[in-house]
Amino acid sequence: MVAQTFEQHCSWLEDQVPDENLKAAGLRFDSGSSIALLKIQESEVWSLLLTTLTEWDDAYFRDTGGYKLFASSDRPKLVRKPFDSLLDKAYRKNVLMNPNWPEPPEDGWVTQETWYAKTNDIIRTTVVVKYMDGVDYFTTAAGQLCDSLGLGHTVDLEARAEGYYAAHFYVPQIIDIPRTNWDTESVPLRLEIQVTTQLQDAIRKLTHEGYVSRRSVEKPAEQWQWDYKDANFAPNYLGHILHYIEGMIMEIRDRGRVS
Amino acid sequence: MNEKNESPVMAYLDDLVVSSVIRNRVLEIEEFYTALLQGSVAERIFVSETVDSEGQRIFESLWFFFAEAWCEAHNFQVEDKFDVVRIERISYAITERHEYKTGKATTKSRLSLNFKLSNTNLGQLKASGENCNALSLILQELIMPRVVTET
Repeated sequence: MVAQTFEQHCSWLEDQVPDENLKAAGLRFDSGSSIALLKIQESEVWSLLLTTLTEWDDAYFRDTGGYKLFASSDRPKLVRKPFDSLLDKAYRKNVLMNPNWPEPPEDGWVTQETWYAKTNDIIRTTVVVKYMDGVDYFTTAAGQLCDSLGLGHTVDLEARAEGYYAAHFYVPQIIDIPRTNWDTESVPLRLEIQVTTQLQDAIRKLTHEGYVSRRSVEKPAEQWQWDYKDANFAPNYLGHILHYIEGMIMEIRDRGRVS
Repeated sequence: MNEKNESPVMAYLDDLVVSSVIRNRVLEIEEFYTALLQGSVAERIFVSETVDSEGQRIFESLWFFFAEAWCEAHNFQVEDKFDVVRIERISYAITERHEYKTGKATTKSRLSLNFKLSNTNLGQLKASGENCNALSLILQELIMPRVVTET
């Protein structure tokens, strides 16, 4: 691959499937991801997860001596990745964050043929817990639920230099999506459940918007840590500070229980 | 109310829609009170609850109404703090309602009841949503008949 800019990368993607331009690929992706969203919404694991949230909340309240697990009673909602965001992610994986570039990344190029399997958050939701230990409590309980249904699951504890802290819980799914000839094929896809705390969620927009706006910049800014005037400096370090404060809150809460 | 052939406790819990964690805890406390009152059977129960600013239901206390005594388990999800009081007369009762008409609860309905026994004991019960109907029945059937007439 010789593409270096985002636009060059889009042209390169178009060349990967000669019979389909990127606009048509976008329509096909929107159709496929809508099907995936619907299938997951109707799945047993999603339905059980929604009905079991109250059980976990009450169990956590009992186990912690009176603290709520979730930040609100709102049920988590599934969302699908917009096509623009998918293109952005493919560019980052293929070019910006690919140490082998211009050779393929370790696990191969992200293209129209592979992006369902290689993109983690095509269908995702967010669960907001009140306290730091709620992240582990939720992922453990959700893992047990997946086990009971014979489904696999994986958990990634994200701790990024940009001050982003969350657990990403993944449930594998097989979804029938349209091919270029609008026949269907079964592809693997993972439901992503982002589990974050109330404080992190409060600054999530701040840090995430900064993260989104700069992640497709062709040359990653690496020196923000030393430039206090950099737009990323304050929101990113706020993320780290809040993570530290949340640890302290847990410490104080646990101390209160012991005494 | 639930028309299935089950105890008033189970029927009430079905109507309240609670998790198995709460249900098991309620049954555990019922067992304690039944033993304490030598096998008496609770005629009615009530979970005093409210909804916080984030829309989450907060359970405050659990009431059992036996023929010979009324019992309150404070902060029953996490504490073992159990009151028992024999009820003879109630000197006054105050209710406060919000978006509630008797027997016609909506999700926005709130109802609270404060009452004073003929001694200095006070009782407070709160309800939200459908639980307002249960509290309204307690007011009509258990509280009002015991409110003393001034002479």
